Amino acid sequence: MSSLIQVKDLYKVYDHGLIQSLNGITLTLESGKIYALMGASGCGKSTLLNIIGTLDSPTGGKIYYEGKQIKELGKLSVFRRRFLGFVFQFHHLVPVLTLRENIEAALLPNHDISAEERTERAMALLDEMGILHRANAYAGEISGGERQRGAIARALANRPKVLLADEPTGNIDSKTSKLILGKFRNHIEKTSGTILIATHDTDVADIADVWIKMEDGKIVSIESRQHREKK
Amino acid sequence: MVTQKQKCRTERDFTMLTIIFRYAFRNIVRTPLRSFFTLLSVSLIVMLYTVLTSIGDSFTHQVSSVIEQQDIDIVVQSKYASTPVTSVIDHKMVEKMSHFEGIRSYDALLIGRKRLNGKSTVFILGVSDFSVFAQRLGFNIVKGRALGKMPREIVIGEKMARIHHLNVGDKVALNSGISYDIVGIYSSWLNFINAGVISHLKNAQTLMHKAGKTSVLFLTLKDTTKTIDMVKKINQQFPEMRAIESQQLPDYLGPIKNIFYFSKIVSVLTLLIAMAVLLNTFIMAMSERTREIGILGAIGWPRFMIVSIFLVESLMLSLGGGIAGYLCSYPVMSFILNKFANISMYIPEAPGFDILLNVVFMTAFIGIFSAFFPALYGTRLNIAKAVRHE
Repeated sequence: MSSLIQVKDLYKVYDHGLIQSLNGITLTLESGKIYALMGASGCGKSTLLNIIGTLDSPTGGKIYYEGKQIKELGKLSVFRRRFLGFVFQFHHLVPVLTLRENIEAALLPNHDISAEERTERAMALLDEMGILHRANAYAGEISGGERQRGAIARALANRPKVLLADEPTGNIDSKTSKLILGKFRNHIEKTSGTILIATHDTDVADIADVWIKMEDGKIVSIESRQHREKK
Repeated sequence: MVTQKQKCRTERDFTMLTIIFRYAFRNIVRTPLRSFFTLLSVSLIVMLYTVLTSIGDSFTHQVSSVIEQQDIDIVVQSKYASTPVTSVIDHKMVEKMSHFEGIRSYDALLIGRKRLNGKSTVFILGVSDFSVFAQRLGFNIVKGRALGKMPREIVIGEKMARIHHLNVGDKVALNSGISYDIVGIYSSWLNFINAGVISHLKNAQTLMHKAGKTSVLFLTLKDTTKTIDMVKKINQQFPEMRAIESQQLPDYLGPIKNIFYFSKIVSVLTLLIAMAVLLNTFIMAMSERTREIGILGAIGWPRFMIVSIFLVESLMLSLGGGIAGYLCSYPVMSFILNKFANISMYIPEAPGFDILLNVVFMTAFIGIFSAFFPALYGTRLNIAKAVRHE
């Protein structure tokens, strides 16, 4: 197993130091594993996810992506679409685009994907998620579960090495939730990537290979599946 | 040889444009009321711009064209007259000037305004030689005949005939108690001549109670390289007159100058108002769609692609409004033309093609400028914050 992401002594403060969101996080994410990031609301899970996903910048500390620091990655927009995939708690689909277009939108800036390939890939992902029949529907015309599946399809469209999911099953039923978790596992098997899921849901955490518990901006424990099972 | 990557890139650019256009169009439709009122505001502003600029440009252009067409080198009028209508040149001066060495020919023109049948005022042009005047300005008699030597004969412009429902053989009162016979109707490409009355200089002098006077004197020189010297000579010998090179005439004519400045002020104001309307629309749109911008950033859209959606959207609204405004100016100008006969000489039949080009460039500039900064600001926001934006 190789390390895809290494986080070293990461700090994040808001409001000129009044709020300390992350307080010296050190973490390694290896390929082929699903990580569950757990902790109470406000403990810094989403902030850590955003910083790893280059959506936010840290106040201090370093992150290495396959051994490279952020300043060595070139254009962040290119890096994001080639290396990272995001699933947010609320689907966040673009409302004026259809489901298919939303997925194609993630592929659109890529120079090396033709229009046919883009459509094919979008349709295949929709099929995989069981929402192919909704391909031409807008976000406002489909159910919450279908929207979230659409959002996951969009996140997987570029076959990212790292998938970051913030409460991905927070607003959906248990059946859809299981389907989504199954897709996450399939993705890991296909790509040997890594998935970091911020969650409160123990069902979600159960599929993880590693549990990371956070409190007040700090990691308090990191447990592997084997370690948990021994317990 | 075209590589797969190049092929994909060309194809991608095309589909990207298609998607961006579709995306922008749907965003316009997403807020129909706001889009409608933005379009309406832009089109009303552009309509106002088109009408006022058409009037200003048309008048300035016509005077400049007359000068070019007439092969005139020097124009003389009273020094302190703000317009040719208030200028008075005595025939003795005309005589003296015409005998200067180097003068090939001269034309005297008397310009005045009189009430037509006691109602709206019309421009009256008294010309020293009708046939020369007609030939130089390229207008022709379309009905009836040209001016003869009989007193109280007039020819009127096609536009004037139409507006005032006049025809050959009709009599009109241009002066209290005295009627004039319309012997012909002429057609001219010059709007203000087309909406006026032409009479022989002597008849016009009588009509306007200005015996032996003219308003403007047009001089043609034997040698055009000596124009500046001749201008200096006339200005020195006749201190109460102002001689200028013919190309400078539009700058010296009071109303033209005013119309020119007015139309420029209107252009700048309309530009600013349209910009403010669109800027407001896009600041609101940007604020409402902050999360969407964040999502696009998170899925790896480069900044230029996100900005281009707003630009295309803004261009659609501004160009759509601009063209609608331009088209609406046709009925408005026609209405003004028929309703306000007094100012018909200033109003062209339709806005020119150059104004359409102006409208297109102006609205495109407004569209780009108004959306660019809000969109750029939106894409510079922290993506994590943008995604959480409510």
